[in-house]
Amino acid sequence: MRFHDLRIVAHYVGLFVLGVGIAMVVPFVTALAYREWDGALDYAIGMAAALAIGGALRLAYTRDAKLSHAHALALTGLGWLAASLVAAIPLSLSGNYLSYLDALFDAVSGLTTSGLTVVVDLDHMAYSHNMWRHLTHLIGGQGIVVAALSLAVGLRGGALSLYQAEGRDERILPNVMYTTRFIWFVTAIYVGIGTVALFAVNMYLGMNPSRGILHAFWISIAAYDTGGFGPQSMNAMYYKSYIFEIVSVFLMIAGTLNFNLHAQVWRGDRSELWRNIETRVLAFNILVLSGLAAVGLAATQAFPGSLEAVRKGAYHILSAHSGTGHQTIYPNQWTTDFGGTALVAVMLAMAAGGAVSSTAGGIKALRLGVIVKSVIQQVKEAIAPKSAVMVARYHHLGERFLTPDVTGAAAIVLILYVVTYITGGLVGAAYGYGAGEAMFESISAAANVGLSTGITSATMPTGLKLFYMFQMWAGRLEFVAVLTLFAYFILGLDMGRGRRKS
Amino acid sequence: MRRLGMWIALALLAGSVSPALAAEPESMTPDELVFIDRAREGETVLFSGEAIGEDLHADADSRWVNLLGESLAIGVYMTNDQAAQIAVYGDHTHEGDRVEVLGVINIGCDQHGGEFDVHAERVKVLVEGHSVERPAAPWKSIAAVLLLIVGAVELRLLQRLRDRKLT
Repeated sequence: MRFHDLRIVAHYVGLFVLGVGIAMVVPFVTALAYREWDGALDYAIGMAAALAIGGALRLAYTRDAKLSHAHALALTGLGWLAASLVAAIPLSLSGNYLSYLDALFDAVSGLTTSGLTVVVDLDHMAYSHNMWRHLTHLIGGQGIVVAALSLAVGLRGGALSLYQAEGRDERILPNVMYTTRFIWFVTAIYVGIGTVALFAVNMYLGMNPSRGILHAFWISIAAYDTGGFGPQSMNAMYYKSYIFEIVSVFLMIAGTLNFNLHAQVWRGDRSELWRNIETRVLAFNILVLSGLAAVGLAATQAFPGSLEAVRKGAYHILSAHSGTGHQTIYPNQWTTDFGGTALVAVMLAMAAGGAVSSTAGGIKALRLGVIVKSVIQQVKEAIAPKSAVMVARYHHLGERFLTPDVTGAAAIVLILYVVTYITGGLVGAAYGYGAGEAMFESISAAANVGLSTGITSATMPTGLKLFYMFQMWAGRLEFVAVLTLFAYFILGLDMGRGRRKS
Repeated sequence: MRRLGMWIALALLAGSVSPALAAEPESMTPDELVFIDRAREGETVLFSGEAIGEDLHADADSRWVNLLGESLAIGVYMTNDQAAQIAVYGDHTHEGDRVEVLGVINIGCDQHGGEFDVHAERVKVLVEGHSVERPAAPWKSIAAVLLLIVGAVELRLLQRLRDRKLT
């Protein structure tokens, strides 16, 4: 990477850092409202640090520079890292993290909407810090780049490249800026509905209005953005309410659907819901895996009746598939009470993930559907006479042809995810954890889910924290931006010409 | 003398089978309870923890209270009267009442959708909770101001460099 290109990228990374600083106004105001004076100072430091760091980065290049496609890829990868480093600053001052690294872990987990956490004493955490933790889901769920694009702040050129570098393949509206604003619009609707519904639930449960509205807002964000953080250490178990589960499941499903699908339904085309290959794959997977989980749970007899087994199984399959990561069991129960079959079902759900252009992680339903159709097509072609001309199609926001390019692209991403899952499992096993738990935790990290067998904690090895952070970051960006950084920094490829520097 | 000894022996025998005088189970923490042997489902357990958050509605006669141990908390299903004993719940500015519960452990409660919970038979507040001061650290104010000055200088410099290039 030429120094000139690095300066341009640093200039725009500074923009993201400043944006994170501006977002900290919300927890700062929360701290003032609840008289959390120490918390208020934590966010004053956070905002000032964002200003200082962002300002320094902006000084790296003082002329206006148009972003090339290569710049956009590097900017996305580095921008997410920089945003995490700054987002961790106030958390590290909270007293709820054993080190800055632990705070950084939660910042990465929050922004990538993973939900794995190494926080300590969460039940005594200040409201301002809980607000920030959940806001990182909101910022990262929609995308840091999307947030910048929707405000059209200071970015010159490269808008489409930036949008795609963040793991979004599709535009909803002809203009990328309008697409990003639409994404925020849909988010506001669902988080708003969720907040009102959960506030009503919390009032029924007997919470005071102040805690009721905060918990409702945070859980709505965590469920819709499929993040998985919770304001109490018991996560979804805290509320002991099946109505809570129903509302959060509605939000999880909404969050796991393609934003394009939301747009189609918004425009009145409800038939897209059942014609779309993604919703069909998701529906099929959820049904089959929920059934498998229920059968597995019934076999372990850990839960008293078939209804309880179905409820536990279905809730966790939905949580896993959507990448939310809310759980109504203790971490150790994955191995003691869920048993082999149900555990494998949950791991498959996590690995598969949600829809493209959604807040969910994983391999994605569209890719799985395309690959399965390709396999079927291969079999048909093998059986058919050599003279037969066979064309395969699939429906995804319109009829599309199944071409080798489409299948190849899907297969590459699937391979990258599977390699990441397995590598993370091996790393966890190398640290002495059981193979099953290590594999579970690795998939949870790379697919940005957040369900945990208990490996993820403040006391886990530093090397494993770093590796899971890498997995969460790479998984969120679907590898391209991360591999691009590797190419530029390690292999020394030139951003302008894509050739190695001599 | 022999008759006295016989009466003492009979009294001790009666006491050993009397529920009122039976030995209580060993006290545990919520963290230990979560890892309890699954074969002990339905047994009476004794544990204590800090009451956190608030008591939540369960049904007309009962509440849920979550008790926190070292790092894990357990939900306890108790009567309204039992819950009324708890005055302080733990949050950012409070250390909650330390509460001891004797009750039946359910690893998959059939009354509550398969939840891991304890149905309380007896609830006792061991230590009353109290408010916790969280004073603002003075050094944080200084750090914030210094960083703000640095940032402001940088942005001013950026603006001046840009203006100079334009002219």
